[in-house]
Formats: sequence, C-alpha cells, structure tokens
Amino acid sequence: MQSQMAPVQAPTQAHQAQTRHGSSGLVIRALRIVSGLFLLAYVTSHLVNLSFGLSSIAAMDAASPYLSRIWTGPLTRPLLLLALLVHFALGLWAIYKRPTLRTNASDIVQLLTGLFVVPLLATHAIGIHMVQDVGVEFGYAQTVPLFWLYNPTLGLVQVLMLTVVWVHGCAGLFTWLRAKESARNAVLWLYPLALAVPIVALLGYAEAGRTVLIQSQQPVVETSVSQADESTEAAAEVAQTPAPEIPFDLIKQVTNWMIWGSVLLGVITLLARWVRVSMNTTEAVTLRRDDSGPLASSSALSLLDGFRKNHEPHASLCEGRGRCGTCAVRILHSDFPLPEPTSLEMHTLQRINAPENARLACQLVPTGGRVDVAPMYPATYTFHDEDVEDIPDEAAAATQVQVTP
Amino acid sequence: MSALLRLFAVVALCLPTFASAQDTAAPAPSANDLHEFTRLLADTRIQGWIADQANGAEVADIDARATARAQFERYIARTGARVQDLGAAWAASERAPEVIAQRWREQITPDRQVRSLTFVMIFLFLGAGLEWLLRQYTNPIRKRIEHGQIDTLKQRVYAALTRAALSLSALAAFAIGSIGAFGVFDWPPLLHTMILNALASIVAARAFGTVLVLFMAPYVPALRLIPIDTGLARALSRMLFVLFAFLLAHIALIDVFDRLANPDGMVHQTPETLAVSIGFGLILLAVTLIVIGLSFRAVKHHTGTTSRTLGRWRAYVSLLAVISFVLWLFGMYVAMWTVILLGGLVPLLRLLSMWVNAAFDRAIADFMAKIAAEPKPEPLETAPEGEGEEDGAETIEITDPYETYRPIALRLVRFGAVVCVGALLSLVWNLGIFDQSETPGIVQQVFGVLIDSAAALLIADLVWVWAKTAIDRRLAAYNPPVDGSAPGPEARMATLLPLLRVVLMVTLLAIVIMSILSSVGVNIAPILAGASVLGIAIGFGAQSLVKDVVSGIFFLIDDAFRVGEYVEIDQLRGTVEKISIRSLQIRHHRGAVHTLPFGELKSMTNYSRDWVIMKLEFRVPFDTDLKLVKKLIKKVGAELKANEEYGDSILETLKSQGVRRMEEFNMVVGVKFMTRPGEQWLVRRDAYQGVRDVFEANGIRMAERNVKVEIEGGETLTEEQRTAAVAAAQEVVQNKLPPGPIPDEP
Repeated sequence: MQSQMAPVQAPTQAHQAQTRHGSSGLVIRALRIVSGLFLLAYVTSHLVNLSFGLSSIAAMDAASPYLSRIWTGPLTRPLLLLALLVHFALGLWAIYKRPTLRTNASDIVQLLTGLFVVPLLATHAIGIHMVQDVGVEFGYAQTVPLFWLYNPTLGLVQVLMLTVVWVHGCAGLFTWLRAKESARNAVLWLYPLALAVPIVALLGYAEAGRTVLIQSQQPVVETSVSQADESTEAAAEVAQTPAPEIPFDLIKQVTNWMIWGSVLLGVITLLARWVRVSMNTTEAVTLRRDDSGPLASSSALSLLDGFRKNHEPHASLCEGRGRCGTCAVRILHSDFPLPEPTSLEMHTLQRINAPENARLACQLVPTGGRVDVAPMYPATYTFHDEDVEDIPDEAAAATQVQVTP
Repeated sequence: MSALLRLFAVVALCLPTFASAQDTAAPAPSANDLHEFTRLLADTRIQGWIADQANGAEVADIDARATARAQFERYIARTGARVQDLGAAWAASERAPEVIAQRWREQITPDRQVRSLTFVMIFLFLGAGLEWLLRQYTNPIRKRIEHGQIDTLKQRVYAALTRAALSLSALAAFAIGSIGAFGVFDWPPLLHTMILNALASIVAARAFGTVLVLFMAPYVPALRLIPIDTGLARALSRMLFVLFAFLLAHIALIDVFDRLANPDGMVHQTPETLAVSIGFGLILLAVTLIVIGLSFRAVKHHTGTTSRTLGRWRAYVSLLAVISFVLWLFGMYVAMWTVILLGGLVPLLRLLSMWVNAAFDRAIADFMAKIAAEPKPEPLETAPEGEGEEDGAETIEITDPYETYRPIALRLVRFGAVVCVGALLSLVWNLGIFDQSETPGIVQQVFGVLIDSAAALLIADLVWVWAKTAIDRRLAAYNPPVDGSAPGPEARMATLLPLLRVVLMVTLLAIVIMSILSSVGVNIAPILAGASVLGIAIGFGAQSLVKDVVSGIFFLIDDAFRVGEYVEIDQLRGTVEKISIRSLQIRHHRGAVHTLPFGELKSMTNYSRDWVIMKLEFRVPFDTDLKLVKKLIKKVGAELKANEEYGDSILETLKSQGVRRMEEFNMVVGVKFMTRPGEQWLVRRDAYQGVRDVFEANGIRMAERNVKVEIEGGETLTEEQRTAAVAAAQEVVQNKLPPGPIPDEP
C-alpha cells in the first residue's frame, strides 16, 4: 500500500499548490456543521424536556432548568442566536449557489424544511423569551394550557415546527455522518434514537395536553378565560398573570417582523438564484460514462447532477457535498479544459488517495463539450461493504500504470 | 386489519347490504346455549313446528321465483325513486355546501378540529418515522437490487418482487405506526370516520403506488415487468396513481359527508349529500376521461403507433367510464359493477396476452443470447436484447425452449383473469342483486349457470391445450423411419399419443357436459349410473377386446417391439409391419402376414435390437496351417470392415476363433462377427465369399467329404475290381447321408 501511494502523492500535492486560492469552501463546511450540531443538541435537549410530560407538567417544569434553560442563559443565548443566524444564512447561500434544485428526495426535504424553520419558530421563541425577559414566570404550566386549551392553532403550529425542525436536523446529521467512514457503526445505532426522541417528546406533549383538557372539563373557575376565546397568546397571558406589564405590541411586532423577514429572505434567495441561473448562458455538455451511453447535461450542472438528471445511479454518500469522495471519477477525456479543483475538492481527493486524473463528480462542473469519465466506486457502494479496501487499491494500481512511463 | 375491513366497507359503499353485513358481528354462543339448542331440537313439538315452517318456506320460495315480473317492477320502481332523489338533489345543490358546512360546525368546534389535526400530525409523524427507520436499514438491499446486474427473466421477477416486498413492509410500518396509534385513542364517531378514512386512503393509495412500481418500475428499467419503455412507464404510472388517488379521495369524502349529514345512519342519503356526491362523481368522471386521454396520448407518443385501433380503444374505455357513471347516477350499482368488470375484461385479456407474449419473447431472447454467448461467437445469432421482434422471430425457428409453455401460460393467465372477474361478479350479484330477495332470482340462476359452465369450459380448455401441445410437439418431433433403417424409440409414441389424445378429448368433453348439466340443474346421477352400467356391460361383453387393448398399451410402453423390427412370437417370425390399438401384424419374409391380437402375446423374441452375433464354420483338412488361416481371416475381416456399404454397421468384424472341434475327417474352424440387426445377412454372404477366395488363393483347400476305400492287399487289384469297389462305396455313402434340411432364413 505504502509503495503504491508514493506516486500518487507527488502530483496531487503539485496540483494543490496551484490551486490554493482560498479555502472558503472548507470554512463554510465547518461552520455549517458546527452551528447545525449545536442547534441540534439544543433541540434534542429541549425535546427530552418535553417528554417529561408523560409523567406530569410539574415534572416538565422541574427538568426545565437543566434541559431547556441552560441553553438560554446569559452566555449560551447569544451563542444559540449566532448559531441560528449563521446556519440560516449559510443555508440561504447554499440554496443560492445550488446548480439545480431537482435533486434527490432527502435534499429537497432538507431544503424545504430549512426554509420553513424560522417562520414557524418565530412565535414560539420570541414570545416565550420576551415574556420571560420581562420577568413573568412562564414555564410549562403556562405554556401547555395555552397550546392545548386557549389557542389550539398555536399548538398545531408547535407540532408542525417540531416535525420540521427534527426532520431538517436529522437529514443534516445523517448526511454528514454517512459520509464519514468512521461513523458507519454509530449511524446504525442513531437511527432508532432519532425516531425515539421526537416521538416520546410528542407523546409527552400530547399527554400533558390531555391532562390540561381533562382539568378544563372539571368545574371551571376560569370561565372568563374561555369567553375571551379568540385567545391569542396575549389574551391568555393576561388571564394568567396580570402582575408585570408585558409589551404585547412589541412582541407581536418583533414576531411578525421575524416571520416576514425570514420569508422575504427565502423568497429573495430563490429569486436571486433564479436570476443567477437565467443570466448564466449554459453550454450543452455530453457525458459519457463507461457503462452508459451519451447523457445530455449542461454546463450549469455538476457531473453528479448530470447523472441524476438522466436517472443514472452514481455513488454519493454525502449527497453531493464533497465530503465523502465516493462520487469520484477518473477523467478519461474532455473536449475543453476542466476548471481547477477547489480546496474542498482537493482536500477530499487527497484523503481518499485519489489518482491524478480523478475528480469529484459532485464538485466538477464541466464547461462544455464531451466529457468521458469512469466511476471509481460502484453505484451501490456503502461504507458497510467489506470491499472498502479493494477499490482504492485498484485505483492506485491504475495510477501506477499511468505514472510509470 | 379492522382498518382494512373498514376500507373495504367504504369501497363497497355502493352495496349497502355488504357494508351492513360487515358491521354486525355477534358473539359466539356459549356451551350452555348449545346444550339448550340440542335439547330443543330433540323435542317433537319443535320438530313438527319446524317442518311446518319449512313447508311454508318452500311455497314462498316458489312464489319468489315465479315473480320475475314483480322483481322487474320493483327494480323499475326503485330506479324511479332514485330519479326523484336526483331531482331533489338538483334542487338542493344550491344550498348543499352551506348545509354541509353548517352540519360540520354543529358537530365539530374549531378547537376540537385543530386538536384532532394535531393528533393526526402526531400519528402521521409516528407512522412516517417508523417507515423511515425501516427504510434506513433496508436501503442497502434496495440499492443493491436496483443497481444490480440482472440477466434473466427469473432474476428480474425475483428482484422486482423483493423490492415490492420491501416497499410493502415499509408501508406496513407506516400503517401500523399511524393507524395503530390512532386506534389507541377514543374518538367521537365523526372524527373517527374522518381520520380513519384519511389514514386508510393514504395507505391504500401508497399500496397501489407500490403495485404500479412493481409492474412499471418507472425509474429502474431493469426491474420492469411490463415491456414498455421508460417514458411511457413514467407517464402511465403517474397518471394511474393520480386517478386512483382521486377515486380514493372521492370515496372517503363521500363517506365522511354521509356520516356528517346523518350521524345516526337512519336515512340513506339526504339530497344535500347526494348533490355533493354527484358533484364529486362528475369531477371523478372528468379526471378519468382526462387520464384516459392523456394515457392514450402517451402510449401513442412513446410507442409510435399510428394505427386506428388505439383510437378505437380509447373511445371504448371512455365510453365505459361514461356508462358506468350514468349507471351509478341512477343507482344501478350492480349494473355498474357488471359493466365495469365485463367491459374491463376485454381489454384486460388483450393486455394480458400481449404481456405474456412479450415476456416469452424476452425470455427467448435471453435464452438465445446465452446460447450465442456460450459457444463460439456467431455474429448472426447474437440478437441484441433491445432489438426484439425480427431477430427473435428468426431465432425462434431454430429452437424455442418455451414452445410448449406459451399457449399454456396464455390460457392460464386468461383463465385466472376470467375466474377473478367471475368471482367478483358473483360477489356483486349475490350481494347486491335486488337487495331484499333471499331466494335466487332467475337472472341470478342463469348467471350462476353461466359462471359454472365458463369455469368448467376454461379448465377443460386449459388441460386440453396443455395436453394437445405436448402431444403434438412429440408427434411433430417424430420422423418416420426411412426405408430399411430401424425405427427409433419414438415410434411407439406415434402409436400411443393419438390414442391418448382422443381418450383425453372424450373424457374432457364428458366431464364438461356433465358439469354443465349439473349446474343447469339436471340431475346427472342417473346418467352416471346408466353410463357405469353400460360400461360394465360393455366391459364384460368385450372382455377380450379390452384385454387386447390394455395389454397392447403395456407392450408399447415396455417398448417390446417397433414397426420394422424382426420378431419371433411362438412359431411365427417376421417383420413388424403395423401396430394397431388391438393387434399386431407381422410379415413373414416370404410374404405371409400374421395378425396377432395383443391379448394372445405371452412372450416374444425380438431379433432387431442393438446387435447380432453371427457364427460361421469352415471345414479344413487336418494338415492346414492354422496360423495362416487366422491371418487370412483377419485380412478378410479388415476388408469387410472397409466396405463402404455396410462397413459402419459392423460392430466387431470377422475374426477367427480357432478350431472349434475335430470331426472324423476334418477340423472345424469357427469365425464370428457382430453387426447391427438386419445387416448380418449381407456381411455373411461376403464373408463366405471372401474366405473361400482367399483360401483358394493361398492353397488352403476346403475339406470335402470323400470316401477312402482301403482294401487290404489292394496293391494287386485290377482296374475292373477297383471300379467295382468304388461304385460299391459310393452306394454306401449315398444311402447313408440323406440331404439335410435347408435352414430357414430370409
């Protein structure tokens, strides 16, 4: 193995030296993952708190300082906000840069849920935190009746939000983990966990709601509240704790601002993307892979997107994020010179010990003409396969043949 | 399970009796009840009463049967009532949405509505989550199936089925997660109906989608079971799915509105719900017609056919949809189902036969490709798989490995389709026909007879086609022997198979006629009894004939003789000339023909099997050089073997066996050779001739029978005495040796 790798290293390094123009791709990738993981950890912790509802609402409140509020303390709250902002901005940037929106189902799900998270979150996050900031005690004992009894529409929105957030988080997490060979066993154990956390949380939420509803069936003292029916969050709040002054108008304003602002941002991003795509003049590209005939693609699409567009299966564990290196192809022929690899691509190619003429199909956007490639991994490739060893060997051997003359 | 039942009930909502039958379920009787029941049955008074009731019922039965006219009138009256309902619905159509909305508001407060929606979300999340979990673990298998190498039809079917099973298990996880969680809670009836309808519709639509994917595989051409191209598969599966989803939505919504309009289930349908359901029906009809139009356009576009038949089929299917809708509108549900089922049967059969044919063509192409790939590559034979028709047709002529199975498969598929449709029809008719009548009406009876007869005919046809193809195939493969050559083992099949065919046909015909008669209501027991009496009588009377036929069949199965073989039976020898079902004719080599009934044959000798050894003898004087003889005979043997006429038939050529015995005046040298049956005579002729010639050429004399007369002191005999002595010896010898019999051989 060692001897085979030696001839590989030299040309790749030389290659890399040419193209060390900014490592923004790597930075963005790291930022996205770190912020996403941080947010997901918070959501998980919060959901675990929610599942205490299976026991009682009091238990939820008792666990809340350790599971929920610890994340929103004076130090952690700015961090959380920052992570959210960064992640949202990076997501919009990714949408803007995407060559095509017609990708696989998991990507589409991630994209759409990502767009919907912030508008759904606004009422919940801003309302509760601003009320708490004023100094009003606003724990689960107040929230659950609000969501189930006084304003069920808001409760429905919470369920929707939980679903959307969790789906988005899991999609990101598993795409990230699947691309890591070292995590291949952990993933198998994480799947049931990823299902159990939200379900138990939802059950806790439902159970808490049921308790509240049953209580409300009993001889009621708060008839006045029920009458004040068209209960926005605010109305309920008044009934509960009239003591300190709550800036309802401000809360509403901020919430609306955030909802419409994020929607606007999403729309602007999509529009900008549309403008970018329509401004670009695209050349026709003909792909030819060794096992399939000529496939029509365009210069707006990466190789991988070109294969997908033609429904040609191609290995890619990280769904085209340039992390896993399973989409790597050997370039056999290209009519026009191909663009230089970015540092992200170089990094991955180096990691998988790819031969000199290898490129990542998900990162390479050909400029036009005919491109002939040979995939380095079979379309069914996963890290679970025991033939992990074989294929790089074969690839290395192929390199040797090409280098020796 | 209950959900599925419920869904079934929903689907069959046009058949009220069926739905109610499903809903009422009584607890099983206890042991005490049963004891009580048996005690009551034993009571004579009870028995008498039951008998009276039964007599009365019979009379009523006859009445019900007799009044086909009354039934018809009732039917007309019902339709009339329906038309009035329609009128009312038309009048109510204006206010229908408001009425429905009002009822909706009455029964469900907005809070409740939202809360139930929250619960539905949770159920859906649970179901989807379970499915997702299952999919994570099965994805590698699915990927391997979808991207794997698939060569044969069997592999393709297996892979497609595995994939469908994976999808269905994921769907089952979804159903269990969502509907199961739903079942845990108590719900108000309306919400129960609504949520269950929604969940069941989702599951049913997805199940239908799975079936579509199983057959059409829109994105994985390698797994496609139906021979259509990718674009067509995508278009068709999309449109069929949309149509089915609309149908489900229609059924579920109408059910919900029905429940909404009359929560007690007292009235059948209020004018408002009828108006709404007709509105939905119209939408469904429009969607159906659009889907039909688009589907046919897709077919035309992707297959490139320009023939008018496609247009005719489109008109036919559209007409079918419209007629079904009109029948549904007028409440003639039974007639609607009948039209749909019978009308659908025609194109279904056509499509199925096309499908089976295409599957066989593809299997043959695969087979040919395999054959062509295995031995030396012949560029002419390697038919590319996609090419299809013309190449396939050419190669079929060479060999068709599935020739026997194709007609059988066609019949089988047709049979299955007809039986399914028949079963569905009988379900519809028995459950839905003229709701109230317990006794079968005339139409039902006729229908039952038709179904029974059709089933009997189809089964008989299936068996007959299978047997006939198999027999004809064997017969076609049989080449009658060319003059002179021995017939192969197939020859006896040429005798037996036509007989078998006739017997089978008669038997099948008899069975079919019997079962049709019995379903018409003719009591076939006397016929069967009569036939068996007749059979016994004939059996006894024609005992020897039967014996001949039966033993003949066994002789043929034993392969004891074939046409053209030389056999010996008791004292009769000859060539088998003709084998009939009762007797055997052999021709003696001198022309006489013997006819032997098989029943008479005890044992027989067959001279024409495999090989024949012939032994010859030569008498040579004692002073012959035996080594020379051996060498010479070997030489003759080689010459015989080299003969181009019969050389190939000689298995072991002529060779000397040395001195076989010593006789008074000479030695007997034995030789033998082995040939194929029938060739030995010619070889023997040439062997004799060759040996004589070669002996003569080498100075070996054949021993001749001579008389040595030794006279004591004969040195002094005169010429006359000598002559007299010779004459006397001559006389003695001639008297002593009479001429032997001439051996009997051809």
